[in-house]
Order: sequence, then structure tokens, then C-alpha cells
Amino acid sequence: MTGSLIHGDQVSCSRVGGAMRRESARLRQHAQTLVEALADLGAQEGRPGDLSMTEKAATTAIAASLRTLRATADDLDEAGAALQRYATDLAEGHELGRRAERRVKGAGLLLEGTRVVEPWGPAGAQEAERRRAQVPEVQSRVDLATAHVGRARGRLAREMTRLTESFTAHSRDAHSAPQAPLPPRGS
Amino acid sequence: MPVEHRVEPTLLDAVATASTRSSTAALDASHELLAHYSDTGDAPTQRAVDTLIDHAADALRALTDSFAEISYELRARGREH
Repeated sequence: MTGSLIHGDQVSCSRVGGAMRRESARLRQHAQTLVEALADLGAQEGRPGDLSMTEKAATTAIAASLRTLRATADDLDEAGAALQRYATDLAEGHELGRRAERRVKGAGLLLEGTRVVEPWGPAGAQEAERRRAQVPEVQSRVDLATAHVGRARGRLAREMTRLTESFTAHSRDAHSAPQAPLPPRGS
Repeated sequence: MPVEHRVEPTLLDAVATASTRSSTAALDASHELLAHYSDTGDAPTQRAVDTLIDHAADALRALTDSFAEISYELRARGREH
């Protein structure tokens, strides 16, 4: 799975992304059920908008947590989608990396990290010149693979950072959700 | 003196039940996020992903508590009547 040029496991990234999106879908379903229960409460006795003050306050309190739940589910879906895109990019990067490594080997060259170098040891002048001449082209293949993955990592890190800030705000919102007095029940 | 409008108990029960289920779903989601590990292949990217997962799990646990509190209050009120 992991070559010496490109590191990372696209399967694990895809799995985590998928789990995030599944959980997001479940949370949205629960949010919808809660929306319907609140709508029934608001529309009781065919008098929508005619709730008492305490009922309105309770509805507001629940609705605040509900908004946070939906926003969290949306961001979880976005994070999962970003990880799944990264998994695809990483898989492409591995393929580009494997091709580059085959090219390095085929040209009789070596990789030092991401740098293509000529091997040590005796070689005929003609052979040494042949290898040297191939270095730029082989290096460009290596650079293609590393740049592809580098861009993907940059995109993923930016998305993760942005969404982390959102999740922090959601935590704050959930902790500070208004605790309104709840309505009296009928008998 | 105005007569206080009273809510149909079954409607409050439905909201309490939905709230409990939302609380449980949020807790399950936080556990699910923390149960997996992704290998991005790059330390800074890995930190960004791990940090996001931690913060997402925190938000979900906060929602777990929030909905549990709502449900508890609704049911406590139900026991008063």
C-alpha cells in the first residue's frame, strides 16, 4: 500500500470519511424527527403561533440545540467528503509514485528522499552519461507525484482547519444553549 | 387572571423521546469518530485531521449533554403532573 515515495493509506482515509458521512446522515434523520415533534407541539389544537410564553421559551431552547445539531451534521458531512476526496487524490498519488519509482529503477538511478541521484560506484563513461542525461526527466516524474499529493494535503489541511473552527463554535453553542422554563403539561 | 395554556402530554413525550434519541445518536457518532484512524501520510496533515476529529467529538458530546438535559427536564415536568 505505502511506497517509499508517497506515504499514507487511502483506504483508512476513505473509511474515516465514510464513517463521518454516515453519522452525519443519522444525525440529520434524528434532527428531522425532532423538527416534526416540535412542529406538532407548535401546531397543537390547530393554533400554530398561539403558544403560551413558557411553551414558546421551551421551543426556542430546543430549537437552539436543534440548529447546532444540524450545523454539526452538515460540517461532519463536509469533513467526510474532504477526506474521501483526499483518499482519491492519495490513491492517484500512489499510482504516480509507483510509476516514478519504476522509471527511477529503469534508468539505473536512485531516490534519496524525493531527489533522483546517480548511484555510487564504478560505471563506464558512456553509462554514467546516459544515467545523468535521464535525471531531469525522471526527477520531473517524481516531482509530479509529490506535487500532486502535496496539493491534496494542502487542501485537506485547510478544510480540516476551517471545519475545526466550526466544530469549536458548535461546542460553544451547545454548551450555551438557553435553558428555558418548560411548559406545564395538561392532565 | 389568564388561564395558562396547557400542552398535550403526548406531544411533550414525543419531543422528549426525539430529544433522547438525538442525544444518543450524538454520543454514538462521537464514539464512531474516535474508533477509526486515518493515515494521511504526512505529519502536519495528520495533526489537522486528528484535531478536527477531537473537536467534532467534543461538539457531539456537548450536543449529547444538551439534548439529554432537555429530555430530562421534559420528563421531570411530566412526573410533576
